[in-house]
Amino acid sequence: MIRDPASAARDPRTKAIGGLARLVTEAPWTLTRHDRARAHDAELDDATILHVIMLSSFFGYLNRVADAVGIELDYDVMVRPPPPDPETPPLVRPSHDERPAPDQGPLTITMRPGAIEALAAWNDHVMERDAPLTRAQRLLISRVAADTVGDASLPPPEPSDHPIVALTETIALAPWRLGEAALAPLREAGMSDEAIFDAISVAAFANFASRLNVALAALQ
Amino acid sequence: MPYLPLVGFRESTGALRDAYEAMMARPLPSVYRPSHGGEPGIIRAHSIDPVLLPRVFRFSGMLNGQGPLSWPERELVNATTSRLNQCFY
Repeated sequence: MIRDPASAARDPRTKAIGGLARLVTEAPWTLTRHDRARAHDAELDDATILHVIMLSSFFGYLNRVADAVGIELDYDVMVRPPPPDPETPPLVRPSHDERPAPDQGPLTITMRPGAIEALAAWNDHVMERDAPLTRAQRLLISRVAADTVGDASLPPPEPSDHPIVALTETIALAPWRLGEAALAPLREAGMSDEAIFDAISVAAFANFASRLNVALAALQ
Repeated sequence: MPYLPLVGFRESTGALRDAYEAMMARPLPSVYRPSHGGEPGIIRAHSIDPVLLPRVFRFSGMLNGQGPLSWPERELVNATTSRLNQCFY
């Protein structure tokens, strides 16, 4: 149950919520209108489906920042979660043909009060700055992150051997491999602590935003 | 140990201090307050950027302060996501 919290659920609504969170986390581009119909059958309305997709995408952001920065467990828990297994293969990325068309699906974040304003304030700070990372670096990270989940609303990234690319891919596809070693190439490239955190923040945000885009576009 | 130099509430000054005070003034169920009495680690994780911190948690508040998912259902979504990402948080 610790490994799969929804596995203990018996009622269709709880199972449907856990199933949607799993799809959003593992392969958001595989969602279809049939998943929406099945959720409706389990008594989830569109506002609830949107809530699951937004919340799971956002918690994926928090997971990635927590692991990339290396915070420790500071809550009193009855059962400690199992430690990450770095041998776990990275998440699969979709092929070009699997990417959903970047059209608006039946659900949009405008349906949730306050979402557009909160997202715009967050996006502006993360994407619309010239330091510590340059705008070109922010755009590169965004495109790399978009590519990992099949977000066709951004063009593919230009080839680059800058260490922010590898860090973005680890943050997006294998957060269980984050650690000091994942940050070392950025330090060796002369990046400050502030710049490294900036890269983590942009990569985790871009992963969240693209995951959300893809999940919502895939439902059409 | 964190991989980056994080600053907790007690050592914070200036803009970060203001951000922490605004965060701690939010209504928060006691279960989300660490027993060590300090700020939760996920907030401290953002301490390098005091401008980012309130914007991230404004978004969090928008998702967590109201339904249609119930509190236990929100926890199920968060726990499922964390387990698949192999994150303790």
